[in-house]
Amino acid sequence: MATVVPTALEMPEELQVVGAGEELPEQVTLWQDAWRRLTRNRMAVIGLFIIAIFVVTALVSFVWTPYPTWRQALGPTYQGPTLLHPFGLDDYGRDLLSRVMGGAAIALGVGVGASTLASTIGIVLGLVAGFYRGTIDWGISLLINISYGVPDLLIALILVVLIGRGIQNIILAISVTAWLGMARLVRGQTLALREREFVEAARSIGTKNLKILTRHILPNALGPIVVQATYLVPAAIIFEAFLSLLGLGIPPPAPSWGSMASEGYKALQIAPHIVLVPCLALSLTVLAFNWVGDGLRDAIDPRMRR
Amino acid sequence: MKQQLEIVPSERVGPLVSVTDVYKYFPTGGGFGRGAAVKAVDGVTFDIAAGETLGLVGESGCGKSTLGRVIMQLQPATKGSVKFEGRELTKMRGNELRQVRQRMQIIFQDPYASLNPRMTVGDIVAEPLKNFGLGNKREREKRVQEVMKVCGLNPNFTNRYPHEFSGGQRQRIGIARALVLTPSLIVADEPISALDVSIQAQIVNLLEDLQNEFKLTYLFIAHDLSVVRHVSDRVAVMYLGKIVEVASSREVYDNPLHPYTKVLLSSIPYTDPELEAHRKPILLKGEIPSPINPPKGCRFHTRCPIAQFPICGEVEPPLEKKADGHVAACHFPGKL
Amino acid sequence: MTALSILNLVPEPGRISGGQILFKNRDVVSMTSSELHEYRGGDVAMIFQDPMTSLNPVLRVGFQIEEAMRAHSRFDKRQAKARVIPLLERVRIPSPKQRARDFPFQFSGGMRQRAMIAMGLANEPSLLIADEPTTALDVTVQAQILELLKELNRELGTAIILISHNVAVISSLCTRVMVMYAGRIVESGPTRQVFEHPEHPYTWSLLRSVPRVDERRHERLISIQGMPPDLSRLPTGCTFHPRCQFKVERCLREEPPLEEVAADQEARCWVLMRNVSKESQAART
Repeated sequence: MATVVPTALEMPEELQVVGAGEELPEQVTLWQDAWRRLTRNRMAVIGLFIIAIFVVTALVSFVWTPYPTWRQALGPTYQGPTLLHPFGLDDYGRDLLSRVMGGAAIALGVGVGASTLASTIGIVLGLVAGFYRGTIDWGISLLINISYGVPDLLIALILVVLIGRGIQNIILAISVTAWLGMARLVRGQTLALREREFVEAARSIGTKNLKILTRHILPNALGPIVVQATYLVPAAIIFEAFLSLLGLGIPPPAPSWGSMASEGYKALQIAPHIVLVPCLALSLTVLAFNWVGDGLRDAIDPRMRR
Repeated sequence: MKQQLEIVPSERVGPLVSVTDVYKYFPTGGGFGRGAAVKAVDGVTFDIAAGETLGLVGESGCGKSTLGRVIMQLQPATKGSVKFEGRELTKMRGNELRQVRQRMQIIFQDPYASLNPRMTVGDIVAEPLKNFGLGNKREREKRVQEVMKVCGLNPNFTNRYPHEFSGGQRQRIGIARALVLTPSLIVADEPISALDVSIQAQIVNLLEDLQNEFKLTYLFIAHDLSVVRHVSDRVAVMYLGKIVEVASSREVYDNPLHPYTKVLLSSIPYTDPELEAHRKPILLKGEIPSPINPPKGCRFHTRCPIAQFPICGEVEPPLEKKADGHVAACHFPGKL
Repeated sequence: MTALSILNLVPEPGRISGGQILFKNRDVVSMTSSELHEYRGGDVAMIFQDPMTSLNPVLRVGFQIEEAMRAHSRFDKRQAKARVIPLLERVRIPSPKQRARDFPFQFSGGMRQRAMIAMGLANEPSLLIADEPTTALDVTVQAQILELLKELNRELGTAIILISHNVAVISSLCTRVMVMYAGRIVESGPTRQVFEHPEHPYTWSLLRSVPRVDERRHERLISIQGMPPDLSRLPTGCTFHPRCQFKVERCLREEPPLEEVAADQEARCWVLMRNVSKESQAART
């Protein structure tokens, strides 16, 4: 027999709908509210704008760049900016504009990819540790604390050496350490949220644990998670650049900004533009993401709410 | 087609809720599990009859909210038995316990904290139905709107978020969520103490109307004796993890037997200035003892105006019948 | 908020937009900052609902009371030190010598409120403003604090403004009462008279909306429909009319003045409860 919703109970006449609700203010969800605050923050808007430019550039670079990013000897090596090559040429005579465009795709790919992967690991482990506590929490916390003691770079280097230098491997190598902060954050949030009354209320109406985690705890921790994930993007981009600078990043001839800078620094004195161009692009992207992260943090912070 | 509700059979024998010798200890710190325990509920026995309102009063920290949560099995009891509709709850686990939640619900004190800010009101009220797979989406929507209407909420606001509502309206949302499964027992944990005075009466009246309409049984937990007197058929008074007196509402107020009850009653100012001018409050000395290390003998002896030694300091008075339908735990009942 | 105005402590960006606050014939609104300094905490002291947030958690209670006196010129350093223990004794804190050396967190809620009152009394103010002083406390502790306030009023002659939503607490302590709604005084007069013969429908409903411990039989509570208005968008006419059960057409258009309705009693209403028949009053219960 099918289960049926308990049927209509006669509404007693003396219970009338209280009119006070009629004049609710215009509906705003918490996220709409946060978005409004974010767009009122000038630095965040500039940051969003810069990110948008880089995203468009990266997308365009898949189908079109002024010259192929790998073609050498387009003109004299070390040539400064000219009309044909507005950012100049590098030590192999490759077009820097094309390479910076291609680099944007790699940087954003690594940044967003690592941030997503690291966040996913961190969120899941953080939720589980904070919610179930006990032995599981003890194990995960121990793992986090031990990993914190080992330098990120060392772990990433070893991993890259072991599994190779493809873009997926780089993302993996970065995420292996980047999830720690996210896990800590989510664990803390979960520990606080699970004691909140609405979680108790959810249990009292027979909600299963998985639902409590996904419907009640996670959505309420999402604010700080989004902020943290945003900060993870520039951190991963820098990390990748650093690996490339050490010669352990994405292998040439892929135009990673890090490897472009590392190739250029040998000719710093005669052709500073080769270093300058990728470094500027890198700084601008990192700055933009940090501005947006700061803006999000202020927009979501409940202490700022009315 | 009209589907008949499963109504509590009125000929069902015995009380709706039976609490027998329940203890709830919270271990304090220490880290190695050796630390002392907070004795929040320390051996409590009482019944709730179907259809009645039992008021549970006591001062902050006396364990009344914990007791409510133990009955709801939101906190496992350290020891003792809680029977609901004839079934033992403390032995139940997982899904079996989840199923019982269809029949017992709780209303929380703080309507700001007890509603998930990220869920719409419609989702909040529909969640219990979803949890038990009741009805399809349309039927659920219809049921949610009905219940919202019954609770005095505009049913068109199902897609609004809790923060858009006032305190009183949010409390109505909490009540709607508790009511949607048609439970037989509702534990109301200080349901009005966080609300503006002008709103409190609305909620009290709503709870009374719902009780008449749906034959609900309430455990009404509050620190405010005036409200408890107003809504309750019977009143249980708690002090430091123990029940010291249970009797009908009228009996407790007209003829309190335990000195603590008497002190509590004398402490409440009257609204009528004429009566108030003649009230003589009995002021307690000292502070409420720590529930980690409660006094030996009668727990109230350290502050009791009529304590006699050595008996009150050594022998714990049992909660026993002193008159018809009137139990108290005192060596010298009615002497204050 | 009215209490904060009396102390000229209205938080930014708010300000007192007009009117006078006379204290011993001096206008508080136009006081200079040094005059204000002497006035606040000297002539007038205020105690709050939550004593924990108004006490500094890292300073000893005795020291904080001493400091309250040192901030003003009424007592010199030696006198201030010597007064701490008697003050704590005065507010009935047991073993005051030891307790003065405690930190606020070592005090219970009731003791903290006593300490706050001691601090308030330190400079022998002529007016004590108590803002919901017992709301956060248990009834037995509330009874102790109310008795203490009565005693201080009787023995030291300190005037007290008690701000409370609890009509029974007002009835217990106050000789006169002023009922406020949406920023306006809607009724005032001697407590006994106002509570026995409320003329404003808001006062009338408020008194019947709370359960009384002295209730003889079960009466349904009067519930005031709707919610308090948004102070930035007040209704036209009488501010209470959207929630009033006895309103007439005039209430929607014109705001009534605060007028004398009996000896010493004033109310701001076009209708007045005395003009509402017992039958129609009962119909609302």
